[in-house]
Amino acid sequence: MSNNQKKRNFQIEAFKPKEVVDPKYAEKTWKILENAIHEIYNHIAGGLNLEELYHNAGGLNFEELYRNAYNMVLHKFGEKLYSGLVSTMTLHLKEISKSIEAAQGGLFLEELNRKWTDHNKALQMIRDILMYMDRTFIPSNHKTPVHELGLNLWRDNIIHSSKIQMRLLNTLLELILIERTGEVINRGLMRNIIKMLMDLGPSVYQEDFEKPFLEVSADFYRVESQKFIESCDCGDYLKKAERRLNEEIERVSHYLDAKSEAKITNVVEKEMIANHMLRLVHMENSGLVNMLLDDKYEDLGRMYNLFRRVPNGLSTIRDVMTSHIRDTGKQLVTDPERLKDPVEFVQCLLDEKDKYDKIISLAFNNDKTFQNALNSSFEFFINLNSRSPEFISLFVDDKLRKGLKGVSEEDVEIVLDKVMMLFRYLQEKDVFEKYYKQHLAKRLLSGKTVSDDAERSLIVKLKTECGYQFTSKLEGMFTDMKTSQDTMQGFYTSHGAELGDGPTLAVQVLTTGSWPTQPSVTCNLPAEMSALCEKFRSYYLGTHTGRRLSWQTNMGTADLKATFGKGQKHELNVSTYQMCVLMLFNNAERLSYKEIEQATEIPSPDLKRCLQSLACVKGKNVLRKEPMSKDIGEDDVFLVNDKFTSKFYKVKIGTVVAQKESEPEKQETRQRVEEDRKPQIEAAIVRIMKSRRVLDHNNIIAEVTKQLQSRFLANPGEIKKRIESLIERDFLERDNADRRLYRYLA
Amino acid sequence: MSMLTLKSSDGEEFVVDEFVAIQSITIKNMVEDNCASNTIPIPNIDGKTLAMLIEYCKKHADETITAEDLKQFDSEFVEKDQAILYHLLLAANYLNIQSLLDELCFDCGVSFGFPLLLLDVFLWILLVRDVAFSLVPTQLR
Repeated sequence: MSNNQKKRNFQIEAFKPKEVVDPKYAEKTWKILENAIHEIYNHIAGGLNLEELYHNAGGLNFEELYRNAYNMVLHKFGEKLYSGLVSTMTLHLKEISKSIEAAQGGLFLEELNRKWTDHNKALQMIRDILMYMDRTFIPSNHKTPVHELGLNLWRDNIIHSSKIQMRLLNTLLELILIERTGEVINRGLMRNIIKMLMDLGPSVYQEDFEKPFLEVSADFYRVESQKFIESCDCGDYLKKAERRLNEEIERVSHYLDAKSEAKITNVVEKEMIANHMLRLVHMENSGLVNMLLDDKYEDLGRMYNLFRRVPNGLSTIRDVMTSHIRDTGKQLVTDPERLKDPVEFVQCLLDEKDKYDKIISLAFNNDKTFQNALNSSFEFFINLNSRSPEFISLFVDDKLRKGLKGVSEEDVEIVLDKVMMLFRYLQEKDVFEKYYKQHLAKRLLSGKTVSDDAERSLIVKLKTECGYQFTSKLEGMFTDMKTSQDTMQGFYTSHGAELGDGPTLAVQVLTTGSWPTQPSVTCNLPAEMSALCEKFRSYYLGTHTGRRLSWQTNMGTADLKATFGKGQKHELNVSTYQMCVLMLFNNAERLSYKEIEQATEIPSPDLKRCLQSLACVKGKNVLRKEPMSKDIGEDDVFLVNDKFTSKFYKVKIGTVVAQKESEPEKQETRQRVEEDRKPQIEAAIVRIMKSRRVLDHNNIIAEVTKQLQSRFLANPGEIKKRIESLIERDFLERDNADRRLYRYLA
Repeated sequence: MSMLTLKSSDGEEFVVDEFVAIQSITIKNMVEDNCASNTIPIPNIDGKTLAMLIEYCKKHADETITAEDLKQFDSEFVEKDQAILYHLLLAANYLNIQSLLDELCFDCGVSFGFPLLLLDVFLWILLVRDVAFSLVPTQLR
């Protein structure tokens, strides 16, 4: 504080407040204020506004009232003022309560609302007048501030009055019920009343309205859901449930406390959805399975959105979907009709996958857990049929031969990606590899691939999926084809002149090991051909010393120009075997089976098949057989069919198209696969033991299975056998103490 | 922009802008409740004190003043006679001018928010202290 010069000689009395404290003073002052409160309540009830109030003949003057209140507090009469306020206000509220109780029917809420608005207006004015007390006396004496006091008195005298409390609650609940039956109610009025309850405190709102509201709603929806579920089908029921849910949310947004939204939606979810979940999902003719079968995206989407709100909702849908897919899948892969056509079979699988992908994307929000369930189901049933790898390879073969002809590059990629997706589900990928190699070999050798780019693209995808080892041999096959082309060019450049107009030769030199192994067979080539072949052999070995060539006569093709009895000319595309047989007829009219067999030295089953394709197939029967039976007998005799006709000049009779294997062929392939697996299992065991040194039996099984699972599902019995074999060869030994424990021998 | 007339206890009338006057919460409530006629009588406060209050409110309602200038004004404002400060304190208390109350209380060393009812007692103590303080140097001289 400042200047010492300024304060000298002051009178202490001058600092005392100017007013004299008269005992009657307090009573007089209070009377003025009490009167003011009366005037305020009375006139506001009459509808006067505040300005009129202060300027009417009653002579209320804000400043005067404020000063009076100030003085009372200053002179230590705060307690009198406060208790006077409480009793005066309570008096008025009791009168107000009576007038509300007296209101009839629909006017009850309106009267309540109006009186509440009046009370708030009055309260504000009273608080402003008593502001000084609110700031000073009240906090220091721990009294309730004026505004809060006004609310509490309202609550105690009006809301909790015995004649009003239940009536209010019942009126509100009844209106909500009416609205639920579809009628329109006065939402503005509802909002005001509810807001009043909220203003009176969270416990008032909750105890006097929300709790009963939730209970009554639960009962309502319990009854309604029972009614619906007995009369509606699943789709309709869900529509109704969704509508009710949205209604409740809308109701909250219009006139209830936002915090009630979660609570009321829980009620609806529980009563309408959670309680009837299983019944809905399994409903006959309209349940989940029917929706899936009929691609009812909208209904499925609705079910998903509703069920995700309740515990176990989505898992229920997911489980039913999974078991349905597994069942239909299992039926598909074990249906003998379907299995007759592998390409059709695979197409069905792809269609089924597409169907469910679409459902998951359109209706199930691309939910990953559903996608996983779909994948695991497919993996389950595709592997139920051990021929799946073969069939998938046949499907690819068909596509690469003709199915993808004229298709754009993007669409080719789409198809190949779908194939890869199926490939991933296979547990026996090594079986697929074997078949794929066979089919690829045939495609390459017959030159029957629709697009080289498509072939290579698929190889790349397989490499990405399975690693270099999987595809290195396949790539070798492509390389051989290219190299052979260059070799042929070289051959004709150097020998072209002398070959002149003899038969044209096209040789593919195949590296053993890259191509599917075929046992060498005997076959006598016609003289013209064998001479040519020898020339090629010497040419080739001249440039590649140290190599050995062996002709694979069971894999070749030939184009023959044929003239038949009536002069009709045709070009026949045939297999090498068929060529050998047909060329014999250049020198003979008729030949018996035995003669043909002797001349060609083709093995009997192959020869029979070959003759069958030449003589017994309608439209391709360039030979005639006596007798005309379907099967080839050892005593049959063959002649050229002079009456042979075909509308095409070029006739294809070859049998090099990849086909579904016959039973014995299948057995053979499977055996080869099993043989190939043995070294792979052993290599895995050795790798594991080398790093772990000591390991027990169960763990070895687990580790080996895991390592090999990208190629095939290892059989524990087989693993055990391999372990035994490795023990015999001193790679491993058994522990002396524990027979289940193995040790690596360095 | 509306004007208000404030009339002191000794009949002096002061015409002020409404936005200046409503720094007093009491006057603000009067205006908002629509119960302020153009002239507001304030029988508690004399003309001299009222004039000072108005000067204070005008400065604090001025948007063009800088923070430093305002601070300067405030510190000079409270360099007044004890008696005058006491009247100012009571007037600011009555009219509920929060910033002035803070200023005066702070300056007196009273923490903000102290129940103002006891302020009378406190002010007595302070005045006694001040008297004692002011006497000491002369005694020591």
